[in-house]
Amino acid sequence: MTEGAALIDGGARLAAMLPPGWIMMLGALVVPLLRGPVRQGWMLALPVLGLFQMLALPLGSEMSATFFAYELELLRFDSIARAFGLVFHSAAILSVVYAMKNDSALEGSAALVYSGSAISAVFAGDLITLFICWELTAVSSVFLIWASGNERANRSGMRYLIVQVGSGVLLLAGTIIHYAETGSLAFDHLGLVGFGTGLIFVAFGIKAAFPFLHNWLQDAYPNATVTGTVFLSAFTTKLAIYALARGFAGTEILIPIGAVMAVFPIFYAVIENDLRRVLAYGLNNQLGYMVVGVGIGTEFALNGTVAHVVAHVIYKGLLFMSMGAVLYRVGTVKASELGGLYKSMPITTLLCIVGAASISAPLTGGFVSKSMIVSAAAEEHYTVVFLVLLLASAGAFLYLGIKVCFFAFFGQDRGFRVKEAPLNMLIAMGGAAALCLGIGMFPGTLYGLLPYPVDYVPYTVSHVVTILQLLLFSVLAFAFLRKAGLYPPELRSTLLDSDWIYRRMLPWINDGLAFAYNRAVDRGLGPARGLLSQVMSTVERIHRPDGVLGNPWPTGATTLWAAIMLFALLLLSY
Amino acid sequence: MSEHFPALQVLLPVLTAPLCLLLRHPTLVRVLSLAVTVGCLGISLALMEQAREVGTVVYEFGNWPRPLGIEYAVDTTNAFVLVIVSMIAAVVLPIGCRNSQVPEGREYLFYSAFLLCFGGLLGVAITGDVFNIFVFLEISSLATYILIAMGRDRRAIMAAYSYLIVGTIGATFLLIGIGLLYQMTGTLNIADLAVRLEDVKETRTVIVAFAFAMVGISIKLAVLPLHHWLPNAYTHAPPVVSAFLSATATKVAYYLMLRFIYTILGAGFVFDVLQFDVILTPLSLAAMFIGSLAAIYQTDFKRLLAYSSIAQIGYMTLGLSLNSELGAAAGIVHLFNHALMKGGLFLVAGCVLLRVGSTAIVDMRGLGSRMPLTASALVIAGLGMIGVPGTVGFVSKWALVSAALDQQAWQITVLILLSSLLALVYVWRLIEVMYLTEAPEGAERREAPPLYLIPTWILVLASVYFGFNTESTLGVARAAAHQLLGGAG
Amino acid sequence: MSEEGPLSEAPEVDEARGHRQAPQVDLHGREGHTLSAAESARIPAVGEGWFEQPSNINKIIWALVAVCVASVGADLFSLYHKHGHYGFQEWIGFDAFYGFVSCVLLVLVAKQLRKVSMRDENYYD
Repeated sequence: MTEGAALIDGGARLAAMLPPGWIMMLGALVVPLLRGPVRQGWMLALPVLGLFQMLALPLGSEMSATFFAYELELLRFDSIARAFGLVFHSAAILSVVYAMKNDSALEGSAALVYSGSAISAVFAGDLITLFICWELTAVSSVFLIWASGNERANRSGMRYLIVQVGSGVLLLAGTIIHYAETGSLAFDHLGLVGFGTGLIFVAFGIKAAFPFLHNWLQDAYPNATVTGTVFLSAFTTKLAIYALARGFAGTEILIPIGAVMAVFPIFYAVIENDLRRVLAYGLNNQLGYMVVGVGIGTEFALNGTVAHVVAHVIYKGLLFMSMGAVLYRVGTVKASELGGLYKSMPITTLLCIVGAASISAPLTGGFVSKSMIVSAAAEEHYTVVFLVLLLASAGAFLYLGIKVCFFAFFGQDRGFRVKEAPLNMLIAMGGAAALCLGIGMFPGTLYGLLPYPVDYVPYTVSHVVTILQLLLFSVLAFAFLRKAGLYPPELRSTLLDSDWIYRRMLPWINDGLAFAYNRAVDRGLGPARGLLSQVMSTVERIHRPDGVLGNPWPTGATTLWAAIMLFALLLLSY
Repeated sequence: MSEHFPALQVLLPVLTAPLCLLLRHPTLVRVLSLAVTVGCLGISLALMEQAREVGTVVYEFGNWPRPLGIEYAVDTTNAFVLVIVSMIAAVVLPIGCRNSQVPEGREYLFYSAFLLCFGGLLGVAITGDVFNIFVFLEISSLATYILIAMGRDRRAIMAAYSYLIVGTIGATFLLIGIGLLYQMTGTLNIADLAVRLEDVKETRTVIVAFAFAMVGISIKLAVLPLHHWLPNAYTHAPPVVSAFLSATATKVAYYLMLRFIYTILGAGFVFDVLQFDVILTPLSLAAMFIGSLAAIYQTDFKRLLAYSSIAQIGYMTLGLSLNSELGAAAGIVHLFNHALMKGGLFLVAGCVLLRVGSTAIVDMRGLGSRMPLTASALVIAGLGMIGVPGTVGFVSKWALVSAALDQQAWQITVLILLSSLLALVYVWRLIEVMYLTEAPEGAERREAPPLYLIPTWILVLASVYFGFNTESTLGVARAAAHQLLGGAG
Repeated sequence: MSEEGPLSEAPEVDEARGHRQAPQVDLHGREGHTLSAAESARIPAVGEGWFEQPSNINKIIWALVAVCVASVGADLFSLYHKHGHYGFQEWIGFDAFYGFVSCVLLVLVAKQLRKVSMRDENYYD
């Protein structure tokens, strides 16, 4: 027994030498070697171990490594990082349980590396470490999309990868310029002070799905696998929110950006047919609140942002899980095809309703967190922003929560008869639902984890009644619109979004330019083009194995060259 | 004991070689050779320690002081080269002479040739006497011709023959250079030469000596227009020999160039008076591009690697031609890094040759599923060739780019980055063939034996490890460059 | 998504009661979908679920209206102290009105958006 204890002790010490997240990343490499229950146990053990390891760290812990001349701060453990670390670990555990039956080694490893790198990014104390983790999340997560294995997912994944890696490249470029400007690589408050920080801001903005930079999200998430989307929904965008909160708190431009983000996705959510894409728009809308919170930048607003990230990761995960279960059982999540599933999948229905309610209803996570950001906007007298956020609250609840539940589980019965979701999915959804309700009923624990002291009381009669009014009348509006026949029917369709710019307009422009170019070339530049292709073919010809430079020359030629070189050297010195 | 390390470093392999001829017993010879390479690795590491402590470890044979006697002088630079050579030897030699023409029971011939080549290279690197350099260079070269001719293909003999001619020309040029220097100074000792040359530097004889020595070394180093022996030699030699030579022989030649320029003649004379960089810079840049382009269009994996070596040598000489401490450090660190990557890649080629029976790129289709460990080793080492962060290739590129930027040489920086893209193309070609095309019908799915895989993966993993731990490579290279440039004044 | 050939693993469904089989799509790790006859029989037929009866739907709507009226009534009769950062927040039924109008507006605008942005499902393919 003592040997076993010593082994565990040794393992614990070894683990303590790693920054949080690394256990998952390193452990993920072993996943392909394992099979069956052993793999399932291992995949679950990794995030659980990681969570314990993180909880064992005292606040203020640091860990650094030298890379070239730079001191990399691999671990900076303060309260804001701890809050993100905690919710990321919880999300990873729930998602792993949800994905327990998925026997794809590639997906399992990719998901663990992805979660682990997102967690390490949160603890990164310098921009280089952040960049490395940033790119790692991009590269690992794309496999969750490609694992779908169809042509649409392949192309969508490639677009996603380009955008994500592009964000990383901007981050690196910004970091280098920032370093040249200030001589500092520390990832503390940066502020929009120069070109370098501007690039970093855009890099964060892409990942945070700012308006017009957002479309990778709605493009890619609905194309990922059933389990992959659940992982994806938790980490990438929230990592960006963390980075914004750390680097750009109080940057005022974020407030209008966030306000626009909170509203415009709702329009799309209303008319979108693919329910996982509806959720992706909803994700974007909730990110808007967080961006506003970061932009306001007061302690209260930042507390609200962090709290909302925690609540949001859990309930959005729950909603994606329930839609994943529907996709898993029925084979589609198109609203126009679904309806009446409450008969076949009652437990999933119930859990989905909890998730939808958690967007803002009292006694749930969204109520105690989102209202902090809205109140912070009011406290700082951003009246328009306040009204916009209130509108978005009503709209989001209705069109992201009620719509999804209604069209999937109620509405017109399309006759699909399927089994209830598998047990592991139900456990994961149940866990997430319990967390949503737990946070909502006992907000003290959540508030205790926030970076600054909290004296906010969510449960006043006035607050509860006004929010209930808002939500109830939203539902009433839905009922009214349905009865009056004003509600748009669900149609199989594709909606044009900003992705149209790069999926259609740019190719058109490109084709146009190519056409104009070809015409110009045909007219005047023909000879030049001929020259270019001649150069290219010459390059190939002389470098091919039978070409002059690709082919070993006869010995005599080398001797001649030696003589020429000798001559040149002598010539130079005279 | 430890004060005799410099002597033992060379004598151990050189004396074991004839012993192998006498013993002849395959296992005994093999074990003995392995022990010698491992012992030499230990000695070189110890010498490195000593050199870093005292600056230059001087060993006088028979206690004859210079310039009368022969002395061995080890400073950080050649200690680093000694470590590279003996490390690669110790890693690759266990594979032995498989896949060659050596008949069953005659392995001792291979081992004694290998040890001679190994000892000769160590001797070139360690000695403090220019004539001794010539002698050891000839020892190693003659052994190299034998080793190359052992390739299992008959073309190997032709390759060895043409290398013999070109190599001899190079050695002769070097000898002429050394002779002219001796004529002017009356000494063969490097430290002594440096002192006595001060007065006669501007004479034509010294200039001609320099020109001959540089062309001779350039042939051995395979600087661009003098590179033709290399692709054939590396392609047709047995895999272990290719791995060993690509990782060591050119490295030692590069060391010689450093020694001649910085210690013997002085950077001020070579670059400011003789303007050597006017020739070396364009040749290096041309090597980077022509080597990589030729690699892109090759149809044979080993030949592709050989051309890529020519491009990589371009990086090293480019560092040298920048004429700065940072540039020399970039060249020196690339010696080590390139040895790891290219050694690993040639061993991968060995694995492929063993199981597939050919190194033609078309025959490597579907290798990702046929030989997953071999293919993934290739990918990791290939990422290093491109210079992906987290590999040694990145460390080299980083060092070289920062050296170029330090000299405000923006155009060179851009060219370095462009040539890395070419590396991306030829590595991607391999990845595409291995992972994205179907294996040919009836292809065997069989991984290479551990005897091959372990050395391969040692080099590949080291290329990742030293991509992160840069202190023991880049740190030492900077210290070496500092000593080299500082010492030469 | 590739269509499987014969629906080997299709759930047993009672087509007479309007039940349908789920589309068979190739989803990784999908297993144990077969619905036994007994399970299928327990599921109400199309049109027979509780939530499908018009009378029940009306009940739900009336209940909703009642709760809505009650919540505004609380304002009307000052059953609690209403406070907010802005004066307009303390108007009677402000949030109720704002929520209702917002949602209706969002839908009406979104319908217009559909005219501009809706394309065929396979537009990009």
